[in-house]
Amino acid sequence: MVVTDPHYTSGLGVELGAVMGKKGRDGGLFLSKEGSLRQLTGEECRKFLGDRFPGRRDQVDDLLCILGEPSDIFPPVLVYGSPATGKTSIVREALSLLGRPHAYVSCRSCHSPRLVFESVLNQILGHVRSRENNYTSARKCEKLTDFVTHLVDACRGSGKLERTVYLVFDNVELIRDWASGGSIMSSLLKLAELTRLPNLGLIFVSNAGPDTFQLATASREPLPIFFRDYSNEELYQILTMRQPNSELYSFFLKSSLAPFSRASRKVTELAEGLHPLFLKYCEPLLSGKVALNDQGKRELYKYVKGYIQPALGQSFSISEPEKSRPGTDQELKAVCSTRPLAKTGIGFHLSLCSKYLLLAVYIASRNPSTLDDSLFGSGDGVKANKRRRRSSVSSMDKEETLMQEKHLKGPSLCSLERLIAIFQCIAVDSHVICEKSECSQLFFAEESERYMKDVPSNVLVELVTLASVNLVLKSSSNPLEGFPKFRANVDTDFIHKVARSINFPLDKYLLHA
Amino acid sequence: MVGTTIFSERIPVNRQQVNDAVTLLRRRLCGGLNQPLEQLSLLPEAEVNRKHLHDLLTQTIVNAYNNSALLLGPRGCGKSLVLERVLADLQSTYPERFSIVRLCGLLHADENCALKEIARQLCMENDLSYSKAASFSENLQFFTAMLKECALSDKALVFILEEFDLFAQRPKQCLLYNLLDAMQSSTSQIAVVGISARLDADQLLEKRVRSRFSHRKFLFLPPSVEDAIRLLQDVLTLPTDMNFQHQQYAAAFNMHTKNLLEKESLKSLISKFTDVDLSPQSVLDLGFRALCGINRDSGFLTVANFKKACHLHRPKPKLETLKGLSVLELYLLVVMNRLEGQNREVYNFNTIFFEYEKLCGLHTTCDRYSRQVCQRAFEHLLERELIDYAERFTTIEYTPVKMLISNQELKDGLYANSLCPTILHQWFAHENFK
Repeated sequence: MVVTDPHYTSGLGVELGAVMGKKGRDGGLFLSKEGSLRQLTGEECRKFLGDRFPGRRDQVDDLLCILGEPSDIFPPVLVYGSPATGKTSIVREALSLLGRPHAYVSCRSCHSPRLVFESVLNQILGHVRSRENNYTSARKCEKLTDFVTHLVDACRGSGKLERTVYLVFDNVELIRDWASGGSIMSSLLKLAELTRLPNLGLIFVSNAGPDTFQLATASREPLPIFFRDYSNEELYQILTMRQPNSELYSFFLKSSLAPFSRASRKVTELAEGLHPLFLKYCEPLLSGKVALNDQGKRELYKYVKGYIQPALGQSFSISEPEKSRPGTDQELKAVCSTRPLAKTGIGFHLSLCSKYLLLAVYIASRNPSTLDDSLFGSGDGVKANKRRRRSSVSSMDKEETLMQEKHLKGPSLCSLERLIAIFQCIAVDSHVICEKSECSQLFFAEESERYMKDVPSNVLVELVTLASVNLVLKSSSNPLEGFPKFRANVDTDFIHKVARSINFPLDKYLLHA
Repeated sequence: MVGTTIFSERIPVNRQQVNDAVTLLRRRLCGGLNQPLEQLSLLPEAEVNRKHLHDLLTQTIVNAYNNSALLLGPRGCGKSLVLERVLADLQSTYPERFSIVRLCGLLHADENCALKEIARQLCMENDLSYSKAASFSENLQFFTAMLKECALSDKALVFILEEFDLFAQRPKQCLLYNLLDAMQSSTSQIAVVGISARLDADQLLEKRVRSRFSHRKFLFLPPSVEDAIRLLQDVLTLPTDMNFQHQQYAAAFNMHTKNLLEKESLKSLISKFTDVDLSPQSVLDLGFRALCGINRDSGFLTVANFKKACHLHRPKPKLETLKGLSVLELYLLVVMNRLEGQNREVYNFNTIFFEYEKLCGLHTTCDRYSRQVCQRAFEHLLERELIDYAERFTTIEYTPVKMLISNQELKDGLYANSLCPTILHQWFAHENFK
């Protein structure tokens, strides 16, 4: 077996998906393609899959034993384990290598019962949705009842009652969240009994274990096959398998896999995270600074050590395409230190009014309402407050921890009136004449008559805009109280950037800065 | 163990024989409903029930008594098996004297669906053309007309309602009422048999329905461990007559299996297994798993097969998941556990990260990671369903979470995970450890 063979290097579910069209909606290999594939015997298949998926020999054995001969039937099987452990790949490959007719449907792409049912029927009947048939399914079936009837017809129609027909349902844990998901799941588990077909093999693939399916009385316990997480050695094998220059890569992995795998053991994440680091590792080699010998390797080891920690931070965030291959060391560190989410740098324009409004919401949802008077009132409220609290150190400590906890709990709700009042205060305090707060300044003069009806409508419009882009969350309003409540949905970095951009002393207004 | 070696040496076993035997046994073990003709002896209590049910249905068919009965018992205790046997029996004794209508609560609990299905099955049975477009009232008319017709031609109708409790949970119990009401008239000849895993299924009936129900209940209870082992042995016995061509091998296999199942170690293994679920179905599933692991070259079942099957069949999903966690994920779990120990009823990612930083600051560990990395690990925990959101909130950092594993499970998990650093054990064990 040549390593560069694309089929062979696809030890990972993701790559395999690209080859086989794994997550496709109508992805099953059914009767039509059966003849074109070379069928392997059980032994060959066992060996092939065992080599291809390191650390999965036991599970492959177990699965193949249960599948048995082409005409054998078996109780429903639940294949489960954490994501990216090769569940789907192994089940699908085993079935296609053995040349068994099967229908594969993923409950993630087929997100409603109707789609699942129709996809299964399409595959059994060999129907392909195309432009000619206007992308319609072979059978229309909304309900489970129809599905069972059609399934019986389809299986009997194909005239292969003596050979087992396999139905693979992937991501079945999602069914739990569907409407009446419990009964659908029970029915699927009992499909063999419901259809009374003698040749139905049911395989369920799930991220969640059998204990999380809270099935009602109407269910049959499936046979579990557990795909455990990969050990470090297996991770090492898998990762080297997909690299062309595997000797150098294995040296690289020896130094960097261990710290990476302490944070995450998910193969796909590791592969993605280690890639930029490996490029970094190769750099001295390419520039000719280091020769590829034992001495050089030791040097490389020392060289790359410093980059592991920052790369770790980077690998778990979404990388921007143009910055994914940083040139200089500083750039790499710069990339590692910035968080590329759009929320952190203001990557978009906000109007001045919106910025003040956002600050007001932030202050309102951070500070308790009792503090408003001292902050925005006549002036010396804060100091008086501080003097009084100094009296006892322990009570101050207690208060501190309480505040801390409150801060960690996240922003609290604040009413519209309070929000607008704070907005008016800060907009005036900093002597900025916004185009929109002109009139708010006007009625701020006549302080006694601060009523909602005086608020200019365009400020409210701005608030609605902020809510619609999710910078401010509007809670479902209580009809008895009347006005909706708001809370800020931005993190600390972002709000400080906003404050800096308009020279607003935010820390002055936050009790717990 | 002596027996094993003697047999496998004395009798030449080839793969063909073993494969044939395994295929036959597999079919028996999981054929279930589709193989009612396979004449295995029933468990004693089930046999009694079978006789009663047989008599009951015979009365309906021969003497035109209208009867109703409920078969109750936990899942996998042979309710459907007994019923299928009786029906197969009756079909061979009184062919053409009755027809069967099968309904299942999972599919046909809705009255409209149920009537359609009844009409469809009756049409199929009597070679009539069935119209999909028929309305509810048309189907109902057809149904009542068929009842009369059948009674006139001295043909009984047997209604089988699987998952009976689901029919009873419909708001008006229309279907049950109509069926049981039809039983009261002299112009019909029907039997209604309900099957349910809920032992209180008859209590779910409304008054007007209950009064029409004849209150015959057949109880199917899980057998004793001895009976379960005997059943397993029965099922795993190869026929030594003309049905199976390798008679010498069959005799040796049966002998071997018998010896095996009499061993103390295996008995204790099975009794431990049945502590959780004693239904014959689960014992058969165990047998199936053991049979799957049979060595095709030696051709006999061993204790190891059963041990492995037991292990595979009753996994501990939470513990296995904890075993596979990365060190950072364990850290977060321990931190959450500590927070719970401090009687903090609400905590979110922010709280957890703060506490994590605090603990890391007090000790020098190499596992101090940035917020981003921790958040990803936190999401992994959510993905693996070890923790879950307590309520919905839009940003992940502030959403309150709760643990889905107990203190004890986490403790076992920490010991099972080979990567777990010692400091974590200390953090876990001593709540006030700083």
